Amino acid sequence: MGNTESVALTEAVYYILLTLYKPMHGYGIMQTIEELSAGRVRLAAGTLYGAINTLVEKQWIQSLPGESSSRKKEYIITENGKYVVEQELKRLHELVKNGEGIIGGEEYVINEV
Amino acid sequence: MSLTKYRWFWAWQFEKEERWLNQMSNRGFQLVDVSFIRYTFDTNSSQEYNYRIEFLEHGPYTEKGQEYLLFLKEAGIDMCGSYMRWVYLRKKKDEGEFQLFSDLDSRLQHLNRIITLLSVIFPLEFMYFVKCWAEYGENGHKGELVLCLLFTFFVLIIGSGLFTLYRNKKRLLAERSLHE
Repeated sequence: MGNTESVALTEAVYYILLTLYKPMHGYGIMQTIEELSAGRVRLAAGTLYGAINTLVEKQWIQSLPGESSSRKKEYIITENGKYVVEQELKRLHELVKNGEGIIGGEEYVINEV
Repeated sequence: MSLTKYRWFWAWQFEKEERWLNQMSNRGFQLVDVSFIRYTFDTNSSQEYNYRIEFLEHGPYTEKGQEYLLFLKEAGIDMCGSYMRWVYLRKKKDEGEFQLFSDLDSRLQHLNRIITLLSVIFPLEFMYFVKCWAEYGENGHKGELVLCLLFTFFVLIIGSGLFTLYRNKKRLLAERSLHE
């Protein structure tokens, strides 16, 4: 698996991976992301479903063997997935650091807090 | 009471079709069933819906398709009709905005599905078109001519549809080079 290349994740993928540090089913992922981002990121159902399938194929997340009574599938992040998020977090840190360095971090921080 | 309308939309006009369904909904007519070119509306539904159309990767009655529809149901979206791999989805208006796709990647994927469908049909169509005119050139039958004109019409229409889809795809790709 060529997971070592550093590629920018989409916002949807990044947030899905983050949410799945705890096992969760589709609708739960959607709600958690909306809460995490204070309502800014609202994943549409089709987008989320497509992303989940791709992530399962890539083995960044996996579905949990659930009770057969409820057909809702639960997912959780894999070790591969965790590695990808960690790399992404490093990349994001770099972006923020450089942005603040050039635009003027202090002012930015004051406005933000 | 129900109202029946007959409309034809080409595959690449699904957004126009969505707009029409949503306009109908605003006027108080809620789509409840679709078959081929026939649209059935409920004229006195107490609920109003927003509508979206999707071309599925797997038909709505396959296992994968069912899985997806179940997934949508959790998000308050249900299917009110289907035609082949096209599904007509709706969500109650008072449950908020209804989009199927929230980023460019997934919109592109959806577009690609429709492009793939037409890319299979178009060469076949084109082959018949060429064959037909070649035969007409040889035997000059009047009946053959009608058929040839029909094939010509389809080649032109599907060709222009593919052109439209590719143009939309190019626009989305250009946008994606700037943001998600």
